[in-house]
Amino acid sequence: MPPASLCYDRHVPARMVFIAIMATMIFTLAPALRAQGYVDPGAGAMLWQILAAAFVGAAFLFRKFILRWFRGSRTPRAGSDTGANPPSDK
Amino acid sequence: MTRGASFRDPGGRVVIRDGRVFREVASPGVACLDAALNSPAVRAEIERGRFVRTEVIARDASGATLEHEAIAFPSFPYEWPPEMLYEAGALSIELALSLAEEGRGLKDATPFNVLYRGATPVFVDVLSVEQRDPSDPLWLARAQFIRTFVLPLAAECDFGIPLAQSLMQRDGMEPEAFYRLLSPPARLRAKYLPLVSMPVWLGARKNPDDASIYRPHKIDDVEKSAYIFRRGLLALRKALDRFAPSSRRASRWSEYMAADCSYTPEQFAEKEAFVAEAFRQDLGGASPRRVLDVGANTGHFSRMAARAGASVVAIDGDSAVAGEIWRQAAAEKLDILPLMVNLAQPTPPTGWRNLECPSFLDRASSAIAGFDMVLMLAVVHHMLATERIPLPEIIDLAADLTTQFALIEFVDCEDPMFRRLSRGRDELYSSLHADLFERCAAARFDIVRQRAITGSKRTLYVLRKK
Repeated sequence: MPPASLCYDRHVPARMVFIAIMATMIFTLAPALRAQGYVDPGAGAMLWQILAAAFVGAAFLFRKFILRWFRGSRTPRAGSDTGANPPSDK
Repeated sequence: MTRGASFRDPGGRVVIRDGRVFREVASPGVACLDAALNSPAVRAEIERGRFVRTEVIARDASGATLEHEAIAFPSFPYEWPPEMLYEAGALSIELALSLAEEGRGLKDATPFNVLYRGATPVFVDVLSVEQRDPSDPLWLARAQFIRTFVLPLAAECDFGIPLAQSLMQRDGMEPEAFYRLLSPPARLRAKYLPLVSMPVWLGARKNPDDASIYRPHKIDDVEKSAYIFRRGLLALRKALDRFAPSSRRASRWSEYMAADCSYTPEQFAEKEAFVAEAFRQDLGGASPRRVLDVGANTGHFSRMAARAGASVVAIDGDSAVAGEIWRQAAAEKLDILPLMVNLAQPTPPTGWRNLECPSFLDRASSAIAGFDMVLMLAVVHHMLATERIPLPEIIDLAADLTTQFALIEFVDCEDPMFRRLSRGRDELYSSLHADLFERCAAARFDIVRQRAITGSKRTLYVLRKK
């Protein structure tokens, strides 16, 4: 079992998008496998890391957008008493 | 080139002199040395005993000389049970995650960067630590981590391919080699798709002359870069965990003590008492400090030796039993290093000029290892009957491996287990009685103590090297 600090967030929509992207790539790439004189053995793993990084980067921006949207919807209306500016005694 | 030294990194090389381990750091390695020496994460791991203790002996503008703690018995990944490879991988990822918090990283990720001190993994490649570019979200060593940790574990876990096979090549297992093991439906399984199938499919499409993918892929948003980098490391940890060895692994030898025991409880107690006496009482000096347990099986006697204060190397050819010895030693924090080694066919030297990773026998007979006791309990008859090694040869090797004592259990040819192992070739072994053993042993040893186990055809001997 991984330690609790290493557990993952569960983003169901992100996972569905990921599965859809994977399915598209499988159907696009799998038939392209062919014999070649020399295949750089590290290249595929590097390319996959770049694609995964792009996906995680998009998820990061999406998360940032959602967090900002939530914070925005919680912004107090002007004139409401938030306690941040205590009423004056005057 | 010095035997057992590291020389591949242009930043520095390791040399071993008189049992002391030095690292000569050249100018390309100075930045990495500073990254390691100034890292709080490295200091924390040194405190926990999981990073090699290092002292700077000399330093000038062109480089430095370091002295590292000497690990008493260096072992290599192809000798480890899967549990130890998993633990070394977990250490590498945890270290990379801690270093990432302070803007540092590991420039490579191979199990050859880790040695074991007893059952504890120790990260030994100081020059692997580097200052990272915070705008680069990719880890260049990711593919190496998969080749050398994840895929060998997956091959052992899912296909029973031993680490001795997949890690005998220093760079591990290529995704292309693993891909060929998978059936077409298995290639689409979630655990293989990102590690094996996608890299293979993408690699086949790429122009091999185009090296642009290996250049840093910088992004302006440093927070986003750090997030991607960390998520990448966490994904690798998850992939490693997916192939973590099960604690329920079993083999024909893992139940040997419980189900196939050749002793009654009273006979076993007699054997235990004899061995305990050898560990506890003085045999002309002190109790043994360094013990090699040959054919350790479940590690029962290795644990006895470790509890008596010895540092133990326990060898057995079976992956499941070596893994179980490691689990118990790690849980009880005992100084036991379990290795998958068959003494009849010990690990050969490997690497450049066969000098990079010395053979098991070279390391065992070196001054650093210096075993003062070799245990050969209920193993000599396996070497005689299964491996067909002549008795004088076995005694000769035992004498070469110990500086002082050997504790040997001799099993007579009329013992039921011996007859089972001889498979009908009884006439070949008909002379193998205790008196022959004693005559052969006399060539290299004096008999200090002996005891025939009551009601059996087995005799225990404590021998002192001549």
